[in-house]
Amino acid sequence: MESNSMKLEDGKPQDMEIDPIQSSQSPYSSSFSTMSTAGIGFSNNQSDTNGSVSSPVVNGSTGSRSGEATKAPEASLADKNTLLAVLSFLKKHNLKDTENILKQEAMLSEADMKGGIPSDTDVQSVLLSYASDENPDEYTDAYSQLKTFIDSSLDSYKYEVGQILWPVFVHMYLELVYNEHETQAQTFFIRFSKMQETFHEADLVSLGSIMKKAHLVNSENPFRPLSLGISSGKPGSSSGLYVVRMSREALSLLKRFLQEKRLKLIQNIVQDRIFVDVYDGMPRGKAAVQAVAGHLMGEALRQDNKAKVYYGLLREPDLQNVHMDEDDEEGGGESQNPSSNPTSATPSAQKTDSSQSAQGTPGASSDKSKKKKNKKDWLMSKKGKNDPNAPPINRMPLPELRDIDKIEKAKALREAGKRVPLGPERLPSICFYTILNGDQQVTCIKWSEDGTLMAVGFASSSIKIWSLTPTKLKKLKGASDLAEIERESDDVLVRMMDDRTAETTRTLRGHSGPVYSIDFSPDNSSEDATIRLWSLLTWTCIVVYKGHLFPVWKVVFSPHGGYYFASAGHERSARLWATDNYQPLRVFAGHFSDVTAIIFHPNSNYVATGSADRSVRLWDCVSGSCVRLMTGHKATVHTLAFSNDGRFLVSSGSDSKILIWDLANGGLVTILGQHTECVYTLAFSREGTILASGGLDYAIRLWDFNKLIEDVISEEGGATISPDSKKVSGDHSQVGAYHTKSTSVFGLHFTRRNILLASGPYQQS
Amino acid sequence: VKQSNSNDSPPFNTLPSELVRVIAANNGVDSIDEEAANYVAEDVVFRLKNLILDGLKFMEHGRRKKLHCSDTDNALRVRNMEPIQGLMSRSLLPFRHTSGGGRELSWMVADDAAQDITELTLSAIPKAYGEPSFRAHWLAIEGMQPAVPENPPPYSKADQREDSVDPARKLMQDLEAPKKSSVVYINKTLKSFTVEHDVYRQLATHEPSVEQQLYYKEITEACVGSDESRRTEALLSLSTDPGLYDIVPRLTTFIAEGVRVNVIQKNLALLIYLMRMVKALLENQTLNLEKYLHDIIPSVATCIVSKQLCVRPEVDNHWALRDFAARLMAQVCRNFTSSSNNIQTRMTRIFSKALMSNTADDMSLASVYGAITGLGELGPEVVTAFIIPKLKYIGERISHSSGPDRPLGERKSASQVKEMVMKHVTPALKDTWNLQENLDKAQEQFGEYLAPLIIMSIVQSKAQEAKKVSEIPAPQSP
Repeated sequence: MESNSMKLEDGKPQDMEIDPIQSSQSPYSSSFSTMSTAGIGFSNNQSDTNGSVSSPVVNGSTGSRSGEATKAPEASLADKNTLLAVLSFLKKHNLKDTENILKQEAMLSEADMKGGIPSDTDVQSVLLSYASDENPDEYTDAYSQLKTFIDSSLDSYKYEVGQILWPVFVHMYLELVYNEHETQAQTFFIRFSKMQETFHEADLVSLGSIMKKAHLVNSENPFRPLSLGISSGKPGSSSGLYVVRMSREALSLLKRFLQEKRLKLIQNIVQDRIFVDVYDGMPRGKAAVQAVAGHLMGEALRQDNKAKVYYGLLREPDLQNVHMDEDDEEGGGESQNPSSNPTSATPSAQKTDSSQSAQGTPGASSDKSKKKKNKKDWLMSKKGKNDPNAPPINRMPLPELRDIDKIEKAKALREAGKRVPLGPERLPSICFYTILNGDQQVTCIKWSEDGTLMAVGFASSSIKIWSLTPTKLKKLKGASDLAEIERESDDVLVRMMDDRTAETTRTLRGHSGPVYSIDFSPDNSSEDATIRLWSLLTWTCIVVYKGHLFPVWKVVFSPHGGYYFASAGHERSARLWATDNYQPLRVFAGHFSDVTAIIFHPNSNYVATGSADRSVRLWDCVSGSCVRLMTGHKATVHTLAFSNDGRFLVSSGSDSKILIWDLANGGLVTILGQHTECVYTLAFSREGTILASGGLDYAIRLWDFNKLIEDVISEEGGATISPDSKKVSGDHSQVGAYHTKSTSVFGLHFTRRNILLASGPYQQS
Repeated sequence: VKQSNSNDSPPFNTLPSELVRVIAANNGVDSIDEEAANYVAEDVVFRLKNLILDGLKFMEHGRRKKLHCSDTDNALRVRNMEPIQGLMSRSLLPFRHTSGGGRELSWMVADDAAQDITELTLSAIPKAYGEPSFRAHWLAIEGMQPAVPENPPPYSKADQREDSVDPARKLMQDLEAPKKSSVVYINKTLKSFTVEHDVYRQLATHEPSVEQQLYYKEITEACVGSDESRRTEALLSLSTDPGLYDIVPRLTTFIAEGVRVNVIQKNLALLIYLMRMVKALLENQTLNLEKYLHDIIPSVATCIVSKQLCVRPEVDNHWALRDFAARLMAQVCRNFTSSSNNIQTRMTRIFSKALMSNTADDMSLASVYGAITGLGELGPEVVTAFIIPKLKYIGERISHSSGPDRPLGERKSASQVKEMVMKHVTPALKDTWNLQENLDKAQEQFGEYLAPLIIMSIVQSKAQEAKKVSEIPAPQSP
């Protein structure tokens, strides 16, 4: 009892895996003044040539949860680890002299050597803890005793205590295998595997593949994180341990049982290999326990979700000073001096503003001179923030808005004025783009923000881009032709394009493996472990980002200016990049399996990731630490979406359930379980009232999002599932289901006018 | 080739050590002891399992439900291993279960048929895989799904079946999820609460949309019109269009009325057209016609057993219509008969009655013909049970009608009936009738007129069969 509750006292970071690339590099404190001319291609539009970007000064230490104070020792530790890695390499190749010299130069003691990077021998020594001389026949007996005890205990404790059945099962099996009692292990597995929860089925398959001691040591062991997790004796360290949350009463019940029956075997496992997070209060019921179960490593600790998350939105920049050339009657209203209405910050306020102030003071010449000053005003006015949950504007260095971005934003705003407000009473129109001849080939579909371009990635490693409007896709003229164009002319952007190359569809080739993800401000990732940045002006690949060692599953652009982007890959980590840097700025390591989904928070300060370890994490881009860990999925997470106000995160995946999380405390809001197959895409309507979802079950479902969150939105602390809730389900809020004719839904996108675009390949039967 | 031993529990199957030894021998390692082979087998299984688990990840990210060869190739590449060359397959490899070796083992064997290379080179080049393209349509317009061919039919076949089995289902749905319409209904009842008869909901008349009305008009006109190409088009639409659910009741009513009128007017052509409409509707995969059988069955039955279907029965080929309708009826029986509606039982009863129609006029031979073809299409069991016992009586009628003193039309009818009897009775009797029986017994059973004909036809068909068998070359020993 004591030791378990002690573990709570101080939390060591769980995600201390130091990435070798990171640690061998000097910290990324480089600053970039301007983007190169290649910057033209980064934005989807015909952009201006001098896009200057503010200099993001970001620190290199990753995975640190402790913040500023520990940065220095952290860095030296990283250096040491690099040294140790080199040393072990030298040792391996029997280069003794070099090794000794390096040791002397680095003044490393033998003690230091001990705590190095886990090598294969270390793995073996950790696994040694599995060694026991217990009678192998006792395992079955002990486990069935535990099972009977849990089944016969009171309903109020049953489900909480029942949580330990799975980890105990896994560890007992592994222990049997480690001690080479193979036949007993098999009978143990066969007897009890059927009693496990249904969502452990996939785990059981991989657990069953471990049949020999050698398999356990093998680096391909899928249970490596679990089998390596052993309490190091130090209280408080929970890293790598399976986490079980239990009320105090339930735990004492369990302890009493184990002591009475003298089940030393289970007692050891519970003590060494399971981290019990004790809380005071009512034990949870079946629905509450099941809702959050499923993560590879058990439930999230409470302290995992303690850090404050600034989930509010950044202030929308003032667009009043944008001079609209092509639209004078409206542009006049918008080019009003911002100083006269400094408080207009929210989009709605702006909307009313621009419509009311038709008598503004335009004038192109005076406007130009004011521009510089206006910009300053704009920066100044950011300080007064009106959302209490919003992060400070300078928390994360963001690229300054270029004129072209502002025009685009203003356009979007005007379009927004024409959009149909959606709600449960007023459902959207859905335009479905069925992709023909793409069965088993299409891997991802994405639209540009304004919905004029559709990009489709194929398993054949090519990308196709279609123009959905009559505007043809043109190529930039050659360099010599470009030089002849007069720069000051009004139609320079039009003249830059070569009319002869106009086409409605274009294909981008360059990857050497299936393309798994695309995002506009065009960019995409691939099985060949690269991320490529493509220009939609020259229709060529501009940059190849090669930081990943394994396939990249997802790539996503930051909503602010297409400067930052993030990627998630097979190597259990996600990375944050800037377009003008070959190396990632941050590596988010902490997931126990592939990171399969990633998305930026609307305020760009955070990145949310979903993983094959069945958890969703939220990472702080500034510190690189994990600030939320949300468990509850029963299978791989494939798609994520933030609600428009930035407070809620929606996730879904192979388990076909859609889970809604409250970022205020990382609590689960509700579960939507109407889909019958893997869900691959989620989208919010432009005003955030309707959530659309689609996947392999040939259906698009619409949900009334306001109804889903109406109970939670008013609560200060965030969403919690009451321990005695009977069922966690938001299925009643489904407002529409539209089936297709054997066409899976791979992409969903709301246009600025709230028309839902959907697409997927038609499946030939 | 992978073994799955059904006796063992699935997670702990291993490859047989013999296999390891065979592979080792192929690679020049001759002596490998049992223990080593077992060890290798176990390790291979562990690695294979991990590989497949990794391949599943690639499948999930490729957004497919089937594992492809390329997925495991990618998994191999991730482990820095050479992918397997030459095993590219677009679809799942065909595995099948077999048993062999005397033991009850179930093997999964890739069905890898040997292909003749010359045949392969001579055969036409397979069609090239089309370039991916897209096609846009409205999946929903302001929350409503329009009934266009791109969208699935508004009522799935399963729903239609549920509806016809349990009419109260819809009512239950309304009660469970009170929608706007039912709210209106409640208001209405409250308003007119004093008037008692208004409390009950009136039968709603369904108004088809303008498009549906137009479609109905076009289709019905085309189906019974004179333009054959338009008719083909209309029938194709009826047999493939997924959105017909709403106007099916109208179409079946059209058919029923049409048959009623045209039987009286003896318009053979129109009856044929109407039957073709029935056929088209039956072929439509998205429709469940169970609810409308009350219209369809009488119409079809009329076209089978009616005494007169055309103006000049001695010249017109109304026999073809009867045969066609009989096939339709057999299809209806196959598709819709159940223990609760007993369609087939009721139909056989109708046909049996027609068979025994005792009026002596020459027209009733047409009914007898219809009854025989109707019963014949239902299968040999029905023929054995209902036609064969009555052969004696049928023979009498035929012989009576084919006498030289009868009118030409009647004689022709008689020969048609005779032909039809032979067609259905011969296969039914072929296997059961012993040719060694003497003619007397046959005459006793089938009547004097038909017995020799039947015996002869059986002998003929047996001879034909024997000839066919002898033509097939004997299987060569391998």
